Order: sequence, then C-alpha cells, then structure tokens
Amino acid sequence: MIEGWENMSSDQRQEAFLAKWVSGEGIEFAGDEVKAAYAYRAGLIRDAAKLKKTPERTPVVVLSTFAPTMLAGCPAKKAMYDPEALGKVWVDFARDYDADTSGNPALVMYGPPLEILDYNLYKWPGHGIKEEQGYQFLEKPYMKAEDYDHFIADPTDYWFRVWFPRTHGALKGLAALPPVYGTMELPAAGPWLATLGAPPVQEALKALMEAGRASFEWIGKLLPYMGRILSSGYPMYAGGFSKAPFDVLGDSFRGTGELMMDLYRRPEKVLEAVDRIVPLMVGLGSGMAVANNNPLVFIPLHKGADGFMSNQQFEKFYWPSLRKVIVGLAEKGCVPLCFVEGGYNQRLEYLADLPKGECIFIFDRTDMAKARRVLGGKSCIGGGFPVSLIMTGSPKEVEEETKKLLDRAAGDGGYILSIGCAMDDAREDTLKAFIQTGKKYGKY
Amino acid sequence: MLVPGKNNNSTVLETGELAALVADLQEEEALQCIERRLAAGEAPAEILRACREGMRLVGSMHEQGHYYISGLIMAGEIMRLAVELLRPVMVGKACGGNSGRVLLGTIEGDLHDIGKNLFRDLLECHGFTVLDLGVDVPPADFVAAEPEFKPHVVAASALITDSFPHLRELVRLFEAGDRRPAGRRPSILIGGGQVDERVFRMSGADHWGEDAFAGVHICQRLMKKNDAP
Ligand code: B12
Repeated sequence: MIEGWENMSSDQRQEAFLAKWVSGEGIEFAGDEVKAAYAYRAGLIRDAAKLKKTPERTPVVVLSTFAPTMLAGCPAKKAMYDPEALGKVWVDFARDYDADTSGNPALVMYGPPLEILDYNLYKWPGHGIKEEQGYQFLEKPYMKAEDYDHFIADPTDYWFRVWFPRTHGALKGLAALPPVYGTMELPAAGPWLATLGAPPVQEALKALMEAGRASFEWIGKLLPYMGRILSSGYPMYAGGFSKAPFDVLGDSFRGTGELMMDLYRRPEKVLEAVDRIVPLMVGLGSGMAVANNNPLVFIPLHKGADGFMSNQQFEKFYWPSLRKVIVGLAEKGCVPLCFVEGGYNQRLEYLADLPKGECIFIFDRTDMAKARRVLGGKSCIGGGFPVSLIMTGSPKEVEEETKKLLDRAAGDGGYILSIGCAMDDAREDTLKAFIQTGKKYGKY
Repeated sequence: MLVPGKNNNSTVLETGELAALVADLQEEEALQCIERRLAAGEAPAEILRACREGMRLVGSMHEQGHYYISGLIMAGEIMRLAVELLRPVMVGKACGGNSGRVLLGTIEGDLHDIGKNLFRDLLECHGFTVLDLGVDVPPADFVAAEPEFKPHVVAASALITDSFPHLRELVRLFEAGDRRPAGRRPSILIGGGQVDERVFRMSGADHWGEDAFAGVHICQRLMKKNDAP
C-alpha cells in the first residue's frame, strides 16, 4: 500500500497510484531506454488526465478488440481459441503500430470456457456468427419485472441463483440452491450444504470447475505475452473494467426495451436498482485496477446517449449513479476512462459536473469542438476521430482529418487522440497514418 | 404540448381523448379507456383508429425532439396491449370463412412489427392462413418461402423510408423469377406507416393498403378473383 493513503484526497490518491503506474514498478524492462519510453508514454496519459501540466504532446490511444488480430490475418475464432497466437499478434501490434498504449488482449476472451458453460449472453466466432467476425451481445430480458425486489435486496444472490441459470445453460442447476445465509449457524448449514450435493447442482459446480481450469490454463499462456507488451515499453490503457449502473441493468439484466418501459412503469425500482449497483461497480473496477497495478478503469457508456432518453430522464436515471461510480473510483485512486459511445451533444453539461481532472471521457460521435468548450479545463477528453475514415479513407485524408481534429480538440492539454470506436477491424496504412500524424502534430 | 383529458369517469369519451392518452404514454389510463369504449359497444375499428392517431402524434413528437427511444418503446408497448384488448372482439366479429394464404413480413432493414402483427391478427380473424416471416426480412426470403407455402398474396410491411428500395427489390424478384402463366404469381401487397400512393407506384407492387382493414378487404377481393374460373 501507498504511504499516507488513509489521509489523502481523491486527487492525491490518483496522483500516487498514477505515479506508481508510470514508474513501471514490477515490470522487467529490457533496458533503461525501454523503461524510460514506458514512463514517457504513461506520463503523457497522466498529464493529459490530471490537467495540471501540458504534456509534451497528446497521447495516442487506439481502443481495439479484434482489430490487431484481424490486421494480422488471424481470424476472430483463432484469437478466441489460441492464446499463443493471440498474444503474439498483440505483442507485434504494440511494436509495429507504436501507439502510446496497448489494449489488454485478455478481453478478447477464451472460447472453450464459454462452450463449457453454454454461455448465452453473446454469440462468438464459430458460435452463431462467422469465424471472422467479432463477438456480439445477445440482449434479452434475462431479469423479469417481478425480480426487482430480489435484485435490490441482494444482487449477488440474485446473480448466482437466478441470473446464472438463465444466461449459462450449464449453470441451470444453481437455480435449485437456497440462499447462502443459513450457513451463519450450524443448525441451518445442513440444508444449504445438502443442496450442493444434489445432482443438478453438482453438474453446475463441475461445469464451473472445468471452465475455471480451462481459463486458468489460458491466462497462464497469455500472461507472458502481456508481460512482453509491458516490458517492451507499452502501458495498457485499461487496468480495470466497470460499467454505468444503468447500463448494467439495461445491457445484461432487463434489456433495453424492458428497461425503457420500466422508466414509465416502475421508475422507483429502477432508481433503487441502479443505486444498489453503484458499490458493486466501484469494487469491480478498483479491484481489477489494483490487481493489475494500473489505475485506469475502462467504462463503456451505452444507453444514456442522445436519442435514448430525454435530458430529464438522463438526469434522473442515468447520470447520478454513473457519477457515484466515477467519484467512488477516484476515491480509491483509480482514474475512470469513460468511453462515451454514440453522441453526447445534449449531455455534456452534466459531465462537466465533476471534480477537476479526475475522469477521462473518450468520445465516439460527439462534436469535439463543443466537448472542448464544455469540458475543457474540467476533465480530460479524447476520441472523436471517425472510424469510417480509417476503413475507407486514404492515408492522406486520414492525416488531414487528424490535424483538423487536433486543432479542434487538443487545446493546451487534457486531450487523448483516439478513434471513437473499440475497433474490430482496421486498415494498416490508414491506422498507421493516424498514429504517426498524432505523434507528429500533437506536439504542444 | 399535449394535455390528456383526466375525466376518466365519463363513459362517452371522444376519440381525441384516447389518442391523447396514448400520445402522452398514459398506459393504464389508455387501456382503461379502451376497455370502457369496448364495453359501451363501440366498433373496434374506431378505437383502433384513435390509437393510431395517438401513435402518429408520438411519431411527430419524436421528430420534434420531445420523445426519445424510451418514449417510442413505451408507445409501442401501449399499442401492442391495445391490440391485445381489441383482438378478441375482432375475432368475435370475424366475417365469415375464407381460405386464402398470405405470406407476410416486415421488409429488410425495418424492425417495426406492431402494425404488421395487427394486420396478421386481422387476417387470421377473417379466416386467412398467414405465414409470418417476422421483421427485417430480405426480399429473397419471401421468394424462398413461396414454393412451399404457395401464398395467394405476398404482403410486406414497411415503416422506414430507408427500406423502401427493398420493396421494389421484392417486386422485381417475384417478377424476374416468374415463369408461370401471367396472373398466376401471387399478388404483392404493401402497407405500413408512411406507405402511400407514391411509394406504391415506386415499388411496382400490385396493391397497397392504407390500413390493416383496407389490407384485409384487398385480400378478400383477390380471393374472389382467384375463385373465378
Ligand atoms: C413504436 C415505434 C418504434 C418502436 C417499434 C416497436 C415495434 N416492435 O414495432 C421502436 C422504438 C423499436 C422503433 C425503432 C425505430 N424507429 Co420507430 N416508430 C415507432 C412509431 C412511434 C409507431 C409505429 C407503430 O407501431 N404505429 C402503430 C401501428 C399500428 O401503425 P402502422 O405500423 O402504420 O400499421 C398500421 C397500418 O399501416 C397497417 N399496416 C402495417 N403493415 C402493413 C402491411 C400491409 C401489407 C398492409 C396492407 C397494412 C399494414 O396496419 C396497421 C393498422 O392499421 C413510429 C411513428 C409512427 N406513428 O409511425 C416511429 C417511426 C416509424 N420510427 C422511426 C424511426 C426513425 C425509428 C428508428 C430508426 C429510431 C432510431 N432513431 O433508432 C428505429 C428503427 C429500427 C428499425 N431498423 O426498424 C421513424 C421512421 C422515419 C423514416 N424516415 O422512415 C418514425 C416514423 C418516427 C419518426 N417520426 O421519426 N420505433
């Protein structure tokens, strides 16, 4: 733990955690030069995020999921089934494209445990979609309207005994479990333990054991490559992952349609549920960040974008719980990196209501000049480059557009150059043009 | 801005009131209003027209930036529940047996299905057998389903302008693949939301229906023709 932590403010904690990250503590660098390169790159992000010092240039970050493997001609299915092929491609990608950060290849995930668990939440390459295509979310109302009270009373209990059996075919047996509470005393421990022995529950537990073993082997194979990415001087843009409570509820539990109707039918339940999710999301993000020794917590934002709801609804249902997650993460010294999907032109004023320099917002289709105007000097912004130009433009066009974007958005710091998309596909010439232009013209 | 009437204890409600309740997303009040009007013996067709008027208002409020996806989804659900209330009454009033087959779907690129489902229900009420291909149906899928189902009518629903070219494609595919003697391919009927005379002419379809009732009448007429030697 960091000395004096107890008495530090959020800002001081972030500074301390960032300093630890920038120092590259625990990474075995090939040499001092590589170590300095790592510190330089991570330092650019720190300076952009904290808004205290104008960095030497804007950091260049490429958010990517399947793009590195696609570019290397490695089909999505192979990426999800062969950790060594995946790891190698990501090491090469970091070096050859030479952006300031790497993503984390582990978020490509591993196919076999999903098969073992009969995972229904996504389709993945070779499983419901083509082998070349990245995974796809299958949104359904896995949580029913009448389940709100159970969810609110104990989300984890609900998660285990209701949501798992509905979303993972092999975990159906968990539905037979009674809640764990009886174990607090000897006389009531028996029923719980006895149910664990029932055949359907045993089947579910076996599936979990098997999926766990497969995943453990997988990460064992992937970790050395992740280590090589770091030791060759590339910090990762995400140490942890979290979500806006409204999106947790909308994406994985109620589904968009049902949740949007809940806003009219049972608004109080929605509010109680999102509030209940706040500490879970703070714990999730900060736990991962600490484990990875990287304070950046990646938070993709989905259903609060322009068009989904009115500003009044955003102000009531979406923003307060997201703000609590952001502030809660900052209190733990983490730096939330919100990836603001869709457009946020009507919402920027809300985002401005945060302590200075504690959160990063990477935008997708928001007007970047406006984002600069509203958030400049308050929070670090980023993104805004259209992925369509990477896919269809020429390197020259990409260069021009990158320069224009820098003029609009870079200001005197507090900007991270990136494409407004977690990329599953890209083109080599244009992506390289983007990164190089950013490094050359992003100088302050 | 819309202000729905709140005098719920009146049994004689004007059309405008139900439309306003739907448009204002007052789910319970709108459904209660429908139930009262049904109990008072009003024709389901009239009630449906009022609901559609409400949905039209929802659409224009969306265009003006007052309603967002949340409101559209809620409106869609109210409409679906309204149809559920009206359906048994419409079945009860089914006007005689008929035995045509209708191949139905919402055209490619379009996910709206409330109107299509309504049209399907109404067809079934009138004794038609309907094969519903669902939403976002590529023209080729209509063609592929034809040989086995042997529909008398192929009906496509379209609400978004971006999908209108696919209607044309649908007609083209049926015409191109047609080696049967003239007049023996199934008639193509279109309808839904913004479909009008102009869209109809552009698509080259054989018929269009202004609403679900008109659509059913067209199908009935076509069956009569089919029966003729
Ligand atoms: C509810 C709704 C939705 C719901 C749909 C839920 C569902 N399961 O269908 C949701 C929220 C999902 C939705 C999504 C979208 N929608 Co919408 N939606 C509407 C809305 C408000 C009502 C439609 C409706 O159900 N009306 C009631 C039914 C009963 O009427 P109907 O469909 O016209 O059907 C009647 C007749 O036409 C007839 N009929 C229907 N089909 C057929 C077929 C035949 C053969 C015949 C004879 C008759 C017939 O029978 C019915 C009864 O008489 C309309 C606005 C409007 N008033 O049209 C917008 C509207 C259609 N949507 C629109 C848009 C833009 C969208 C989105 C793109 C929104 C977005 N920005 O994301 C997405 C599109 C997704 C997609 N790819 O399709 C626009 C289309 C504009 C355009 N230029 O094309 C509209 C017009 C709103 C607007 N003014 O902007 N939408």
